[in-house]
Amino acid sequence: MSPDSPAEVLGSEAPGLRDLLVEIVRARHARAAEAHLVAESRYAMGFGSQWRDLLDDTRDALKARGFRSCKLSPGGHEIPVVNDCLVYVWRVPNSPNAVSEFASSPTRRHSFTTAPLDPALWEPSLSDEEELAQDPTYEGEVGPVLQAVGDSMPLVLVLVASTPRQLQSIVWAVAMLHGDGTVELRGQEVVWEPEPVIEGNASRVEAFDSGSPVLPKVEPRKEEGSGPNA
Amino acid sequence: MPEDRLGLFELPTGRTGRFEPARLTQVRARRGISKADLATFVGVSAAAIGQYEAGVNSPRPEVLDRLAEALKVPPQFFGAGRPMARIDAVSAHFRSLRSARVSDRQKALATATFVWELTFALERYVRLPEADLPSLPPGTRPTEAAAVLRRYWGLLDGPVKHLVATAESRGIVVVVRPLHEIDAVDAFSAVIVDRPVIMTTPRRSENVFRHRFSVAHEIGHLLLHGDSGEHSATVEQEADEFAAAFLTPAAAMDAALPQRLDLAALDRLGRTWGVSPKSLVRRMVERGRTSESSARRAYQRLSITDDPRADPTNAYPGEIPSLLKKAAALAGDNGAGLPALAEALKLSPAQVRDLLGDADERPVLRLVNGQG
Repeated sequence: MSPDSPAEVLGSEAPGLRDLLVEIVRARHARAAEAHLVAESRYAMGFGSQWRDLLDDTRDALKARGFRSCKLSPGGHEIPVVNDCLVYVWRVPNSPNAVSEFASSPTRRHSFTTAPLDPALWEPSLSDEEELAQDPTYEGEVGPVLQAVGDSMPLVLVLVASTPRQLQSIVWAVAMLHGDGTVELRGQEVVWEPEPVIEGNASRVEAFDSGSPVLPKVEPRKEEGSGPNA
Repeated sequence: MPEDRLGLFELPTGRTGRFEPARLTQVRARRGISKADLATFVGVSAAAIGQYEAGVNSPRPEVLDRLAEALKVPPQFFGAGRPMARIDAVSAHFRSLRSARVSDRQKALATATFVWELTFALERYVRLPEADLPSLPPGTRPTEAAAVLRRYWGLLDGPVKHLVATAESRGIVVVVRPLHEIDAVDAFSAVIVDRPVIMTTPRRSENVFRHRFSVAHEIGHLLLHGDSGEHSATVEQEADEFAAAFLTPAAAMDAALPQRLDLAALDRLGRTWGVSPKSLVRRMVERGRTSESSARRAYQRLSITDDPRADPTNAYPGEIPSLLKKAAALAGDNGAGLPALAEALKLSPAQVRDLLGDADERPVLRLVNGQG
């Protein structure tokens, strides 16, 4: 059986990882956007090069919390592992086929066939309730999932859509590689969108142009007569 | 006795038909013509023009006709004995502190006097809203003044809806004049014989957010600075503070502003509150949500995408001045149409139409000779 969603494969780590990813991606986006501005570049290549930083930032942040990573060859990118899942943060190119062609590079293709790491004595956790990670029932849920994917780790793809002007969205999903080399996303879920809270605030008040204007009241001054010399 | 019928604003020694020196100054200033240039056109010495304006001499009838021709007014315009607004630069709050020439300011003020005279002429036939602004004790801070005005005008905590229509409903005359008339001084305001007047330019009104901030800025002057005549950067800053506090009260902004500089979020917020993203960035600095350096970078990013012609005022009915036009239409319905107003002001109907903000759309008729 194939995993259906990031929440399923990440288990209790999902909420903590979600918050951490939002923090990492937003911080990197802000720095890349400012660098683009300061550079006054007409081109977005420099801004686009953050893809490597996104991978490294995620690895470093998780490494600092005790998580291990896997090195994908031949590119050598170190991809962090959370709950026996690879977490690959990817700034999605502006192309309709971008996702299906994700595995077009050997390094990325390798991310679908990486075996789980050997069990460790102590497993880190992003959850507030650390004991949940050791919950035997939880292991019982994940075990079949790992077996179903042929002893390769599920790949949680974190898709970042951004321009120098705006971070547009962070979405995550479980990526599945088909035999023809195309990639399919499962359990796609929006992790972050720009300021949903502001939408709520803005919609609670009526906009400056709503309703009909109350136009100034003018009345005829009958007692003054009608002629200019009255 | 004839004197018994004189109006409140008529000159006590005036008599219709007598030359009124101030009328020559008024229309010459509005046209932006120097005494020397006018003298050349009319065929008299520059000193003679100075003497006409000082009331030392009156022009002969044929010179008066040439003056009228040069200044594009009927000869009767120079006659005394009708209401006249007299304001000087000290009484007006000029926006721009850049070095506008004296003649530029006089030109703008002359336009304002014409607007007031039209308002006064209309008031003979139509009752306009009384000027309704609260009195504030000296030393009132701009933010306090903004809160007082919101309460006084019964505005709720949300966005100020239809600011120009609201101001006009409270007796403030708002006019947008062509750039060539007040370009050098930009927007300004004055109280002329108890009637607050706000003059603004198409440059301010081509973007609705800028237009609203500009009008709020002038209301701030009318409230805070009265006829103090003080022109300084501090006074302008106070009017800006008033405008920001009036359009975007601090308490509401604390709840609505994003936690970090998110230009897309500010854009959405601005479109609800009727203010520019730039002013919201400034508000974020004031409310401690972001640093000055981040704000500077945000301004740079905004300037890249800023389109000053976006959201023109004419897309929003409540932001287009309508008071004078509405009054003129009602006066017309009651038997005092454009010709009557023109006669009262001693101007041509086209000039009155121009003061009302209407383009002259009458067809141009030309004689067609027999050859076709």
